[in-house]
Amino acid sequence: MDSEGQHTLLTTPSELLFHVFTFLDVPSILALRQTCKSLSLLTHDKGVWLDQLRHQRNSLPLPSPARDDVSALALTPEELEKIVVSAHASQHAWHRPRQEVTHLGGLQADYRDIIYLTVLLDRLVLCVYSHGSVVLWNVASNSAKMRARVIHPQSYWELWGLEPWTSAVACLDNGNEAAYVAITRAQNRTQQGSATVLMRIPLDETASYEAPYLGSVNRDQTEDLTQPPPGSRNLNFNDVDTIFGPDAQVVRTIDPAQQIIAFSRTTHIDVTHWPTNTGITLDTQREDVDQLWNGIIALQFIGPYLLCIKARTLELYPISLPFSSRTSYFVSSSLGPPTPPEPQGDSHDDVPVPPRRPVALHSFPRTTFRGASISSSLPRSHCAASAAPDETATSPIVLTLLAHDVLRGVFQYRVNIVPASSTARPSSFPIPPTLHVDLIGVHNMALGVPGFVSAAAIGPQGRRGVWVERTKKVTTRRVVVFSTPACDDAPDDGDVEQPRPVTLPLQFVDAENDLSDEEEGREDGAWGLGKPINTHPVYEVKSYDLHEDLVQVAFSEVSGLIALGTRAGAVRVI
Amino acid sequence: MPTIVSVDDSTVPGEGSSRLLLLVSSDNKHIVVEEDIMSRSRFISKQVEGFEATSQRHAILLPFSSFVLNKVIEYCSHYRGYYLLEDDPDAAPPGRSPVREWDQEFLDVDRNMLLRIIKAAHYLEIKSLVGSCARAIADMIRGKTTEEMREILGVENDFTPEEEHSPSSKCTG
Repeated sequence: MDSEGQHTLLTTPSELLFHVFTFLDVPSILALRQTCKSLSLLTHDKGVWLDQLRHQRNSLPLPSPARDDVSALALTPEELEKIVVSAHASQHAWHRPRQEVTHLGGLQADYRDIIYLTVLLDRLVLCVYSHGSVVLWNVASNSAKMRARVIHPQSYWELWGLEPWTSAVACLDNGNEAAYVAITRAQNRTQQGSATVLMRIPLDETASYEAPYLGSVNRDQTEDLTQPPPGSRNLNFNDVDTIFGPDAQVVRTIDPAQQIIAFSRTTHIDVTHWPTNTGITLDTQREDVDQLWNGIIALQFIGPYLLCIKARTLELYPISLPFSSRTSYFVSSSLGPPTPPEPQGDSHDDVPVPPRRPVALHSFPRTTFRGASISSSLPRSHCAASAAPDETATSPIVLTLLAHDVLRGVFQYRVNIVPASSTARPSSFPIPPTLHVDLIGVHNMALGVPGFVSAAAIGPQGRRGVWVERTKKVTTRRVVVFSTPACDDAPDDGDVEQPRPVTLPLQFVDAENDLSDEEEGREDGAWGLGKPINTHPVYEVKSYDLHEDLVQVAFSEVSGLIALGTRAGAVRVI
Repeated sequence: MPTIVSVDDSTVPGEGSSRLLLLVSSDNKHIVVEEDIMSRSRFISKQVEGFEATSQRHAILLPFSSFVLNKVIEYCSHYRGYYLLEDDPDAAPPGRSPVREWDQEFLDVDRNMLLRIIKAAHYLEIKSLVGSCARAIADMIRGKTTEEMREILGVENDFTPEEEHSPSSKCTG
């Protein structure tokens, strides 16, 4: 083992070489693979790629099999390597200007007014129009010719009333085989009340893509789209449910696991359990902020809670099934579905709901948000090493929130929720949940040339985000992307750890109190404390009239595909 | 008769100092060092436990030269009395070892020496030093081309021209 002979890597135990590999990046490992046979062999080891994957989890969005070690270990080394290499490549591609633009076609000429746009399973673009059509395109990057299918709701919904649909939301069912889509509008023109259609659309590609679907229209190519889409399919009635609610409901979010759906009406929240048609209504209005408009802009179910994002506050409400009362909002209509529920009781206005206080609340200083996008809850491992895996019931939930104030810009927050614990004490005295909100990034549009943000979205993993902005007096709409920096407290390559003496210096007892004061100060302080978001403009379009105005944006966090919806109702993918 | 070398003036036994160890390198140099300096090495610690169990102390023979051993002792002396997470046998193993500036300067040596140190650190079970060496080796080759890596690492291209042009065949080695 000694000294005088040449020491090469090849005489070094492979255990040590694997250790060296942990400090290399993906391109270096691939370059090292080309040096010689024995190193090539080592670079195919599963552990090398598993280790790279664990580092990527700190900063990159990953496809679902790679997000935890249990499922990642089930992958072959080749599959694992492919995921790691493509995640690495996507890191650079995400920030690059988009050259290729695909216009999604197959639309009827009168398709206008997109009310909802999303990207599901990294390849399906789902778009809901105000006249009640749901359109689904498969934009898998490997198929040059994109395929589209057009799904209409049940025909009688088209007939029933003349009011346009006003809001929609979609999400994947558990298991990803289907998507739930909910579309809401006023019940009819003369009477109060909202109606919501809830559809479950199968996403089984092997079965559906053999059917004659419409091809997409490439770049400025127009087709006669007046024919009914041949690929349209009627959903089974079992796939559809209807929900009736009070006036002016906006559908916000669906929890397929609990089969509950949430709506907002300015400061009221309605939550309905659709299999039983039971529900609750929360009046979230609080007197101390009454003077300032504080309407609800987003809702999301988070474990046992409903997270409510308002223009000026973030609130948390407990949601516990089963609900006791039946929902009773229905105003009869001659064109309604065959067996509408009987009207029970009076409209909401006559039966005031007592104001409900949130179990936790955070106020946003100085901003009035107009839109908010929320990531799924992230595994705790993303953000701290001090997770207690055995306490699943009270393990914190971490979310990323992207909110935009039309004039002030875009604000990114990390939301930590520690659920209430009923295990440590008798259940009659549960420990209330705690809510901690940190501003982690700001794109301040109040500085410099005034600008506007028209749409913004954050990915389900909270790693990437996108928004559409324009500058005052300029016709250009700009699509801007960003990546969330790795968590501050996550171990990072750049961190310099200085060794500390075994004998620790005396700590001031007040240190913790000072910290909490600082937190309070941060609440009042300017947003200057949030780091500027590192933005990358990736696409621009001129909009001389409002037709080309980009009003909707959605994207796939893993593949980097961005879907844009124009005011005229066109959808394009960049 | 080998000479007895004291490693460093600062480690000369003084008040409250620990007991001495005799280390013998492969080039038959005898090096006396305080026990608590070397306690960072799991290998040495286990030897010392053995001494205590049998109440018999003897020289510890090491399979590398005094040149490398002195370097390792310099490292251990620098961190004498300091806690490094990687060397804590009870702590969960950290992911990548952190950057330590002093280590980077300490390991600013040629590739041959670096490989000798990492092997010695591996033998002595000093995880923090293994980690710092691994980082230093990675720093030499990160971002380099394959050809540059061969030169830096001193490896020969043993692929046949066919293998070199079809990446898939390299999988089998």
